[in-house]
Amino acid sequence: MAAPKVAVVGAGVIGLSTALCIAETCPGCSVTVLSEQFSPNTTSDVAAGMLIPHTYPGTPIHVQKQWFKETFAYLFAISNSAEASEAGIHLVSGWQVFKNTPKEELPFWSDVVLGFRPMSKAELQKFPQHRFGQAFTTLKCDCPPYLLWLEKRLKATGVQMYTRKVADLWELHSEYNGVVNCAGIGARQLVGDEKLFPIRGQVLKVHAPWVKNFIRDGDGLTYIYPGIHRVTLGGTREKESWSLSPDPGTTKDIFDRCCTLEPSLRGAQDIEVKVGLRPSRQHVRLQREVLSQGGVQLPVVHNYGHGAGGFSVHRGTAKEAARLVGECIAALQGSSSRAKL
Amino acid sequence: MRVAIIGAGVIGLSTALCIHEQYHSLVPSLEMEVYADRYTPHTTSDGAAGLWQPYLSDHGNLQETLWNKETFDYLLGHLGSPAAKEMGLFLISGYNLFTQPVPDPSWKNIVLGFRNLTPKELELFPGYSYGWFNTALMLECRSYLPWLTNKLTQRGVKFFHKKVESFQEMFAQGMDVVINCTGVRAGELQPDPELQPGRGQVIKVLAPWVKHFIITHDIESGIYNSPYVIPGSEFTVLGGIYQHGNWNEENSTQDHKTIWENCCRLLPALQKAKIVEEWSGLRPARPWVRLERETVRHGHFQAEVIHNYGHGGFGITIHWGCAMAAARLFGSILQEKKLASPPQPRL
Repeated sequence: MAAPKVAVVGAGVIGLSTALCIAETCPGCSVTVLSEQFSPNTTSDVAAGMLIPHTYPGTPIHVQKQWFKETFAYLFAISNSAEASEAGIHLVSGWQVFKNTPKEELPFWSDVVLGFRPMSKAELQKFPQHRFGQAFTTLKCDCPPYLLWLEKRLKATGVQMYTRKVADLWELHSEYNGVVNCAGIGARQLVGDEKLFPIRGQVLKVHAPWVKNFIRDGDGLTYIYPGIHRVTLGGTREKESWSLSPDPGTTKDIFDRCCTLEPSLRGAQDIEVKVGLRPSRQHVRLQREVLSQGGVQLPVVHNYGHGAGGFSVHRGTAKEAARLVGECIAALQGSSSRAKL
Repeated sequence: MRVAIIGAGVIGLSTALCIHEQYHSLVPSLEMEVYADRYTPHTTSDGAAGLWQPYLSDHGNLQETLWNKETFDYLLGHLGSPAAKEMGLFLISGYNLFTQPVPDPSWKNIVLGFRNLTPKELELFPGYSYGWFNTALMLECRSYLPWLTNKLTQRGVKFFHKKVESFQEMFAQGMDVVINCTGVRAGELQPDPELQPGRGQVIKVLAPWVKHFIITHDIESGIYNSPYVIPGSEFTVLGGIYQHGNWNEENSTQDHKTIWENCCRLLPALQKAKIVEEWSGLRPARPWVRLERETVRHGHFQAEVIHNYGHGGFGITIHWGCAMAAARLFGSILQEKKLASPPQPRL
């Protein structure tokens, strides 16, 4: 069998990082990225890209922790290199504050981020409405820079990228030996997954370069994440809302909530409003499947449904997806006499 | 009551404001004037990155530690106010790095969240085996000095662009009290062998991805002679030069090389940073701050000088505590004048 041809559908952080992992682990493969949208128009571009994991109810904690650890280690190395600014990766310290003491005082990821500890009384004085808090240092992946950097790395390894709306994975069966589905929220339509639903998030991206620390309310609804050029202010979590249009009332509400946490934001300039649909699921769909029609088979690896936690686990799930692709290819090569090219 | 402040750096302007705020209602005749040969953005204060951080050791000088604390608490109180942005005031977290364990600093309970670095964090800084993390404040003088100037102008304080040659010159003009905030050139008004320049040089770059300050320490070379990176609201300041006794305000190519190479080794990502400006300045170094009254004979009269200079590389860090101490000295001068018999005639 000639070089196995793998198509990755989707060019957000999941699609691009998965394509890169496949190119890294399977140098003999020919990898192509197909996506309706590329940066700056993906869901990933709206996200702040903070490495603070979302907990998936349906995935064992040790697996989530492994994904996060791998992602953190990978980005930590980049942040410490000359490529950091191009890749958009940087360290940021700050506080997660709670109005009521959380049930779990130590989240599963507390020993992966840096310097995790409870906030002191003096630190909490800055947040009069909050009674408890955690201080730590973590990483942030700014988009578009990170996606553009991934695209550059992909091109350097010979991966091709095309703008193309894939309506049905089967349409790829004649051109590719295997397909990786990183379509994010698009998987709802692409593979008809009713368990996947959007959680709409509206954010503001503002110019406030004096904000150097992140602040996050433990309820996950209000957050301030300083990026390289802009600070992301959030947010909302609207289940089952498909609207991509910014809502002005929501904008004012987000701004007010963030100014309550950080009064100096009143002086923020240049407010841009963005909306993204978190591709949410009880657990990330990370598994193999074989589609077949009329004796022809098309192996598929699914890697979607990362919801609010895509950036936090992207490298870990990409590596797992690449491993599954490796299994598919091995299976194909084992039965290459029956595989159709 | 005519008061002249000589010097318009962070010390001069803050002392002026502190005194005016406290006494203008008590002394209706208070007329305040500021004299300086350099104003923002050309003062020594303007070159500083603006990080609140005292030296590692206070050498038992508890008074200075107290002034540092008063300054920190005063600024912290202003953080939530609408003035913060205009003042150039914001919170910032960061790292102090050492090649060996050191005792905790006098200011560990003044800053927020002081702790030692974890082994994982130290991996970020090869060559350093010990360190601290804490959250402190930035006060950028290119915003703070104009803010102080505005407040003073609103209060009717007058400004004069003039190099004052002697205290006598001020008294001859009718000043009752002169506040000497002349920083590194105080020796020109009154010789002071304890006052020496601590020359520094910095490179300002665009590196907006840097969100933490990083100050390294080399016990052998001494304070500020080891690389540091301090991100401001617009530029990031790279430094690490402290030359005692060097009066040269010109940028040195050798120092540029030292700063650039050392900082890029510390933070490889800086190699991609765009250099915007280079600046040299003279820290007004003294074994301790000179903050005291002096009665100066002037013909038949006596006039008062309040000295407030010699804040080395921690002027911003200590400024408000010193301003308040200077204001207290001013208060004691007022007390004495009230107790004195009929007001002395002017020349």
